[in-house]
Amino acid sequence: MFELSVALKYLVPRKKSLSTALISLMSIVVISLVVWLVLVFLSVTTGIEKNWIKKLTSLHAPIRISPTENYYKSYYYQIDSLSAASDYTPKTIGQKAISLLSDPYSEESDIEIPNSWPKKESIDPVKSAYQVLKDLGLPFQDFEISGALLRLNKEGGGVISQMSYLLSKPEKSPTFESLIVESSPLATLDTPILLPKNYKESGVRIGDSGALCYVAPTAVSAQEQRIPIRVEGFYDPGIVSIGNKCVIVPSHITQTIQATNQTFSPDGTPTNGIFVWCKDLNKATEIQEEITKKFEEAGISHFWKVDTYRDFEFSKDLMMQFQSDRTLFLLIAAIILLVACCNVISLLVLLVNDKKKEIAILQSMGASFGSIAAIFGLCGITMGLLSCLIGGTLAIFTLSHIDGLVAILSALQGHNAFNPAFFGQTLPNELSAEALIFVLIATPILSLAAGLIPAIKASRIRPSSVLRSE
Amino acid sequence: MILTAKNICKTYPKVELLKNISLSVENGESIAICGRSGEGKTTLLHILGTLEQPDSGQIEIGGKSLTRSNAATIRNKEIGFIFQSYNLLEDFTTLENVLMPARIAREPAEREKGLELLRLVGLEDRADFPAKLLSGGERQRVAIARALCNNPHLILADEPTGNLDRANAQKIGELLLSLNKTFILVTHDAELASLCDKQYTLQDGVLS
Repeated sequence: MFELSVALKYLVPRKKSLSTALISLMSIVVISLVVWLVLVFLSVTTGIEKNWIKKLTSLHAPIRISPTENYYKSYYYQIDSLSAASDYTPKTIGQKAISLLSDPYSEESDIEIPNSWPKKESIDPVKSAYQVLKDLGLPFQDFEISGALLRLNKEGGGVISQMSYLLSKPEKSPTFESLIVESSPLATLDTPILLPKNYKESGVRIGDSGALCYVAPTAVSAQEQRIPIRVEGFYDPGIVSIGNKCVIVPSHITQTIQATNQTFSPDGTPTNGIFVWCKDLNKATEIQEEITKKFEEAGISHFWKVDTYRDFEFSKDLMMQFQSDRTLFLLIAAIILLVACCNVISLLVLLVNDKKKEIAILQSMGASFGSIAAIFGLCGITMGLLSCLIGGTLAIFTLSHIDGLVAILSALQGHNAFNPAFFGQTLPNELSAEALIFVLIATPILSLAAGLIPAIKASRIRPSSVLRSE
Repeated sequence: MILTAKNICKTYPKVELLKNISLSVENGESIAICGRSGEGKTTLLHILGTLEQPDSGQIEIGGKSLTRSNAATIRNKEIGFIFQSYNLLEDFTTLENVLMPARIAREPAEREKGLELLRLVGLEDRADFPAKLLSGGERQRVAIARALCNNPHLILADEPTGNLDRANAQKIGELLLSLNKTFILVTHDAELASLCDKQYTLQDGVLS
């Protein structure tokens, strides 16, 4: 292809065209820097987001099914408070799932149902939901979130007293174990609990004992109840805002506390529901839609709200903000790239002016307008690809030495450049495929676009007038 | 007939340069066009070589009527140009210059073919020389080899000896005439013109 060989010849810097060479070099340097920056930033942020999501979906799940207001207002839910068979206590979803009776009410032994009571449903929303999930073959588990005062006696002396969220242990989470920082099974009658890793930094050790305290109302007063606990280990709660106060406990503890106290989360996080796990997080939305469809078919969709991890109340804002930051960065990078491409336009226009005679000579040999335009378009693409190559190589080098760079940055600032609680102990260093694809497509396209104006200018040169003026 | 031009007219602002010029060139014929500077010899040559559009008139080259869409192809396949100022591509080697028309035509640009053309003009040993390092006479010989690359039916030469000393001009003239090609030559060199089959003079826009 003669157009490419001519384009490559034109791009080689020459002494007599120093200004062209300088602009060419500057353009390539600027585009390379943008490519490098985009690749490193997107790779690191994509890695951070992946880590966050991995922790989030390990502790919770990619898909969460939570009861709607319709559920709590239903006969099915409320009837337990009138039934002796249910100890006149509303049941959690887990308890409902294993109860033998969908309707525990007995006309003979229980008090009369008030007139304003909701109408009895013909379907068991929990058992139907469980059946749908079983049919879909997905691992799932009910969860409860409760609140209690955690009192811990530290081994070395001192007491820690902290209001805490209690989350039932997501035993069926395939990746929950990856969150465990340190643990040791205990031979004790006390309830084993897992604490967020910040407790370890506060001097709490495995085996430390204490109690979970909560208030249980009685007929005439409120009594403090204490559940003896022992620290079994520590886990990494990730970036969840309540993470540092979230204690993992066996599910019977949360059920017990829920039976006496209804827990409400200030951010609207459901305190009871079903976690559903899937192997591929990218399919979460697809599975969410599938579950919703099956619930509709089963006639229980009005009882349930199906969310993916991107909609979780406690992480949604952070994820959105993170996404906005990335979009903003990409916008800035695109503007810088455009400026660099303007440089490419200037360079190629200079080149066209410089090579007018050669263009005319090529035309005299039969080169068509298209071929002449292609030469300068190829000049633009070649510069874009070369910049991609340089920027990509720099990005790979940077990512493979990112820990060293972070250490230098931290040393310069005198403190951690990236907070380990937020970003993890090390920054992700895997080159993002999406970022690479973005750069590999966007840069040559922009460079080609930058080459179009000079290409059109070159193809409009009239060979006769140029050759005559020589 | 290799070339037929009918009623070619070209007017520049306030100057009617070519007035209804008609010309036919037969296969193997050599034609010299002489005339004073500014009479429009080069313009006529460029029009015949499809580098410039006439205001009116028709041109047929190799039996094909010239249009905007086939001009580049005809220029590449049917015509070879030789210019006064050689017009080599200075960033390329001698051989690359010679083979460029074949590469533009997307035909195999074999080194052997290029060397053969360079042998014809006596520059085989300069094949890998950068074109910018050649002397004036050598450059013109390379330009001749390049003009022959696609084995065109017609060679158009614009003052091919104009920039050369007497000895080199003679060599180039002899070389051109030894090619046995159809060519149209624009020249001030009366001696070179006299060696052509036909001589025309362009004066006041008329070819006589």
